[in-house]
Order: sequence, then structure tokens, then C-alpha cells
Amino acid sequence: MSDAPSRPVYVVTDSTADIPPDLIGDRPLTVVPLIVEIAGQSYRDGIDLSRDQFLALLRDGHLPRTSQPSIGTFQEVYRDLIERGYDIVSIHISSALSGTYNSARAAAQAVAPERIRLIDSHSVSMTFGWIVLEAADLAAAGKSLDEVAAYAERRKGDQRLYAVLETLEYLHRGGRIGRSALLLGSALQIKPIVQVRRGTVEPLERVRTMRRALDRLVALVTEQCPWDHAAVFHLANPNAAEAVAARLREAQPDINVITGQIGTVVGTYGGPGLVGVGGLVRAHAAEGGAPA
Amino acid sequence: MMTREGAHGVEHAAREEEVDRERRWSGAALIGALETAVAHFEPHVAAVNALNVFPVPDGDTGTNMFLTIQAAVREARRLNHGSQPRADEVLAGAAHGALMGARGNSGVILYQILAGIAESCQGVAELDGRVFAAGLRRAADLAYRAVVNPVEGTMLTVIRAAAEAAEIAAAKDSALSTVLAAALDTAEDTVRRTPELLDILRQAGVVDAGGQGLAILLAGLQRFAEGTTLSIPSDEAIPVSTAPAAAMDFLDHLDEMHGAEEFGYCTNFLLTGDNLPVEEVRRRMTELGTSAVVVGDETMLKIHVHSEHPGTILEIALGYGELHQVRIDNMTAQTRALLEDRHAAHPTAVASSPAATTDIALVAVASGEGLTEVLRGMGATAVVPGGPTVNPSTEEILRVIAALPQREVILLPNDRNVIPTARQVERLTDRTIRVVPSRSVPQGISALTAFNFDADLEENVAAMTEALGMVRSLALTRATRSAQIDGVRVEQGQFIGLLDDRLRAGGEDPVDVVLAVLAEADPDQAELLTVFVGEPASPDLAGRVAEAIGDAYPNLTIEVAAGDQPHYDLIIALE
Repeated sequence: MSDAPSRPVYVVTDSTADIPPDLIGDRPLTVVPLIVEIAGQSYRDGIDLSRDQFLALLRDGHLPRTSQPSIGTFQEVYRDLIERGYDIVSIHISSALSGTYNSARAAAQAVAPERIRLIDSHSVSMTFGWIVLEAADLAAAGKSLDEVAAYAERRKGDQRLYAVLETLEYLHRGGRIGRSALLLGSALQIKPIVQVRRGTVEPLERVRTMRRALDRLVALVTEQCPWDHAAVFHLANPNAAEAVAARLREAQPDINVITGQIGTVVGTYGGPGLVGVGGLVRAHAAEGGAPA
Repeated sequence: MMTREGAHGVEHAAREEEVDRERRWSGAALIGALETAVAHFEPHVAAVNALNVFPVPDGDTGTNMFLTIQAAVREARRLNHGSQPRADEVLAGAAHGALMGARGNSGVILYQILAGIAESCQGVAELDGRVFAAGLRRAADLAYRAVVNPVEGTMLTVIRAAAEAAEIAAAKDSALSTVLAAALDTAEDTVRRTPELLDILRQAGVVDAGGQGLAILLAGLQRFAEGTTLSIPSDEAIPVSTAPAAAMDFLDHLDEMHGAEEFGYCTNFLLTGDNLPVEEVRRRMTELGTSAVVVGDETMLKIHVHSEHPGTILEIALGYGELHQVRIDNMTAQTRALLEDRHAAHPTAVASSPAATTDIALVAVASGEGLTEVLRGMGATAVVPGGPTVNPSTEEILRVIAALPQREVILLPNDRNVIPTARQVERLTDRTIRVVPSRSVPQGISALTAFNFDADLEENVAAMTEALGMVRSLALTRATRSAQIDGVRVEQGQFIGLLDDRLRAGGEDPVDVVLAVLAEADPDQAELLTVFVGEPASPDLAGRVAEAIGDAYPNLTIEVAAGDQPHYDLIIALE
């Protein structure tokens, strides 16, 4: 039996990857939702609460909070896939920003640690979302557990995420502010620019106006060219996102860039008005390059 | 095994059950009692939340207790589904459910109470008043032990007083309803007295939230004993608290009362393993942080601790076993958020800016409390007093720099007369000094916005210098003498308007002067206009100017901030 072909691989991620549903297609990929609590109700991120409803509640002054999926939820997902004969690569939001990775890890330990590889992406939203999609493509192409996991792990270094926030309030209120606390305390309105690096939200610049902040965002992103994939994501700011995407296409005509809204959990910390760019820069050392 | 009976018989049995329910509870009745307590608690959640004086994550006591008891009941029901359970089995299930579901300090203590009752009821098929009283006693003992530094005037006091009252009542009459009534009476009375026992409660004008929650749970049990059965609402809505007004006064005294230890990270997790050394873990957690609560047994511990270094806590815990349900909340940020909400509600209060610590110090020159505040808020590490009329000396700038820890310093003179002084500083210290020659406060602010936390000194100097050109500086003041300059004629005492240090307009009406200067500054190309109101400005000036500019240039965003600068009625940044 030692020369038996390896088992097929399934990729598991969580809803903070913010992968647009139409991109998932028939990839071997499952998304486990985080929970957002707002106005006295609990909702599964991306399933039970539309962004419009979410935004309406935010506008009415309700404070959302989020919680990680339970260990039990991950256990069910893992157990089902294991029983169906899959090995699992489970890729998640930075463990410094959410307990999701810990939940997943505890579940994996309980279910089948030798058949599940956990990956702490050190990032969030459609930044590690791209790694998830690439990993799922490799899985679909018949790569083994070790190969898919090693690829995803290697790709982490290519992640970049920059975002302009309408306000720091949400990040601050959610306790995810970290060193970006340096941006607090301004007597004047500012549009903070932050990046996600080494798993945490870091401050980059204070900008006074949205127009200039978007200029800086485009400048920061184009400095990182060439990109393999990029997502311009936003919350309730589609026009700005489209404008940024257009400028990225100008800067790098062959770029694969999509636009989309962030989910309710990421939105809880980013807040309305956010525009960000996340993605993977061209791989330095990926053997055989990135999958199509 | 009930046989089929006539209507009369059923009624009779029901009455029997009512009587029995007053005296003792089987496992099934106990589940009913716990469900009734949960349902009774539910409408009180928001009120208990509002009792919270301290704005930290373990603050939502009502929600935390509700979710904990709900988890307890759910587990008790799940484990004993479809059987005729014994009371001790149900209690063991409830304790396990509470251990897994405990949230916050109050939830952990609630678990401890359930565990105490469960422990002392081992081997008991039916719970009566005597057993219950003994259970409460054990619960109080365990709860006190679980908290590293027990404080009176909290749920601990309430559970202990209730246990004592229950024991006295049980000695006379072992009916559960009698014992519960005594415990409830004393609990409610003790809750009312908590402000006398704990000064922070008195200052905040509230009773202890956890104690109140406990009394509500006892009241729910008592209702069941008296014949009311409530079922848990299927809707799992959880009220989310808002900051109570009572918390406000308390916040002013936060520092004195709690010192620095209530800042940092509230760290909660579950530690599982074989033969966990409970006492040793408790001792380590107490050493590593504050407000440590460690409960559970050698297979599973629920740990709550406040620390500046949650990572260290988790690393140490990992040495004993596996971590689950890790939750870390930044209490500092939450406290600050609440403080800032207060400032927003009371605009006269001056927000203190957090000390921005980066490797590069940004030193600006300005006078006026408002401008100082603004510059610090935009990232200035220090502000040297001085400006157009009182230029600071080299030594004054040097002295400020000498007090800073950073080896690299960027200087923003914010006035053309201060630029030369600033340049002197470069040669007089062993630190690396760079001057970004800002000629006005608006330029200084613009330069500060270009500071990039990720870039090195030279990159930042270049970006900040470039940013000087991205803003136009307007100023409104009065002519110190009559003059005619650049084609503009002004009389002494009239208002004059300057654009980037050049006289552009003069006149009796300050609004007209500002509009005339603004017209020359390409306002249609700009996005944002910020007005800094100076000492000499009449109270309504900024409002009138802002309104007139808003009417003339509806696309401009206008922000008015206190500048408090001397001599200049208004300083205006256009960008």
C-alpha cells in the first residue's frame, strides 16, 4: 500500500478571506463563516446578513462584534471531508487578528492532525484569499497534501495589503488597532493608510483628504508591481474602488485585478468607506510559477 | 411509567407535582428549573449590562452570565436527553456546559458556583433544600478560591451571604422553596449593600452587576419552585450593551482607582491536558498578570488574566497543555474609546494625544494650545513654543530635542523666520537633524501627513519636503500700520489677508477679506479647507467665514479647529 496514490486534497478557509462566491466555482474549497453579532442578533458572515443590511445597522449606530467559528464547526467540516477521503489544507486569517486559526487548529488536533495542514496566513481578506484560490487550483490539479501546503506557506511572503480607512474608529473599537494606535488622537479629520504586515495592522500614513489618500494608495500599490493578482476591495465605496482598479490596470496592463466588497466581519474593523488593495506580487521562487 | 388516567387523575398528579416541586427536584425538574432561570434572566440582560462600571471586555456581565447559564442548561439537557436523569447528573452536565461556555469573569465565577453545587450533590438523585444549601456553601468556597484576590462587594459576597442564609433556613425546613426564598432574600439585600462594600460601585452609583445577575438567577429558580415554568425562547438574541451613563463619573477616576493594571489585554482561554497542575498554573498566571482567575480541574482549566503581554501568557500556558477558545481583547483601546466618546460629548474637554513613538522624532514649532494639539495629533513628537512673533531660540529647540529618546529628528520650523534657527540646530547636537523648511503651520501639517511609518529618515525628509507644496496657507490678521504693498492698500487696524506670506487683501470686513484672498488661491482645485481659530478672533468669526466659504465653494470640505494662536485671527489651510 505504500505506493498507493496520495489522497485528493480539499482546501478549507474562513469567511474573512472575502472570496467572491463566483470565484469559488467548482474548486475543492469550503468557506467556514465567522460570526458577527449586531443589534442583538448573531449572523454567519456572508450567509445570514447582506452587506446592505449590515451597513444599514451600522448607520443606525449599532456596534457589531465578531467571534471566531467554534471548534465544533471546524470539526464537522474536517470530519466530513476526511470521511469523504480528502486530506485538508486549512488556510486562515492572521492569528494575531482573530482566534479563528486557533479554533481550526484545536479542531484539527481532535479530528485527524496527520491529514490536516493548518496555515496561519498572517493576512486578511482578498490577500490570503488569493493563496486560498491558488491552493484550491493545485488541489484540483491533483497535488498532494504536502505539495499544496508547502506552496501556500511559501506564497505568504508575496502577500501585500494596503488600505485607506474613512476613519480609524472601527479598528479602534474592535481592539485590532495594534501599532496603528499611533494614528489616533488627531484633532483633525484624517484618512489613515494602513498595511497588514507580519500578521498585524500597521500604520503607514495620515492623509487629510480621501482623494489624496487614494492617490497614495495607488502609488503604494504600483511600487509593488508586478502583481500576479490583486483585489480592490471596499465597503460602501464602489466608485473609488473602480477608479483605483482602473489605475492599477494602467500601471500594469496584464494585472489580474478584481473589485469587490469586504464581508461583514472584516467590515466590522475596516468600517464603511474603506478602500484597499490586497493580493500577491509576482512569486519570487515558486517552482513552476503560480497556477493559472 | 404513568398509566393512562382520567382527567381527574391527571389534575391530581399535577397538583402532586406542584407540591413536590416546592420540596425537591428530580433531574427533570432541575432542568425545568434551570430553563426557567434562563428565561427569567433573559429580559434582565440589558439592565445587568448597564450596571457595568468598567468598560473592559469582561464588562458585559449580563450578556456573559446569560450566555454562560444558557450553555450550562443546554449541555445539561443534551447529556440527559430522553432519560429520567438524576439531579447530580444534571448538575454535572450543567457545570461542564458552564465550564465550556463561561464568558468573562462573571461567567467563570458562575461556572464555579455550578461546579460547587454539582460537587456537593454527588450521589443525590433529588435535590432538596438541605442539599442545595450545602451546595451553595461549597459553591461560595470554590468561587472564593478561584479568584486570586477576592474582593468584597461583588458576586462573591452575594453567593456567600446567600449560602449562609440558605443553611440557616435549611436547618429548620428542608423544602427547596423555603431555602431558595431565604437565599434570594439575602442575595437581594446583599446586592443592595454592595456599594457600601466596594467604593468604585458607590462612585459609579451602581450595584454590583455579577451579584445582581446571581440574584436574578436565584429569583428564576424560586419562580419555578413556586409553580411557574418558563421555556427558553428559541430566538437566541443577545442584547448588546451600550456604555451606561453611570460609567462616566467612574472614568474620571479610572487611573487612581485601578492604576495602570487595568490597561493591557484581557486574555481568556481554555487549557486542556492530562494532570494539569492547577495550583501551579494559578500561581504562574497570578505572577504574570492581574485579575487572574483560574478554574477547572486537572483535565481542563478556564483561564482569565489581564496582561500587557498576552503572548507570554499563552506561551507559558502552552507548556502545560493545549489551548482552546483563545480570546484576547485590548482593554486599553476600549477604555480609550470610551474616554474619547466622552470628549466628543463634551467638546470643551481637551483630548490628550497619545505619545507617538517611532524611531524618528518629529519636532514642530508653534504657539497656541490648539495648534500644539493639532500638530501632536498629526504625529509631532514634541512642539516647541514659538511662532511668527515669538521665534524660539536655538537653545530652546535644542533643549526639546535633548529630552527626546530618538536619535533621528526632523524639524518643522513652521515659519520662515524660524527656518534659520532650525538650521543652526543641525550643527549643535550629535543627533541626526533634518530640517523640512515649512513656512507656516498649514505647511507643517501637510508635511506631517506625508510622514511614512515605514520609510527611513531620508525618504521621509524628501516626501515631507515635497508635501510643503501641496497646501496653500492663508492668514487673517490686522494691519499694524498703514501701508501699500503689492498693490494692496491698507489702513492701520484694518483686517488684512495673506496668501503664502504675501499681502493680498485688506478691509474692514474680515469675511470679505478672507473671500478675496481665497479667490486667488485656486479654491476650485482644492478639496479641503481647514480653519484654525486664533486668540483675537471674535466668537462668531469662524462660523461666519465657514458659512460664506461654503456658499461660495460648495465642493470644498470645511473643517474648523481651535488654533488659539496669538495675533492671527485665522490661519487657513487649503489643500
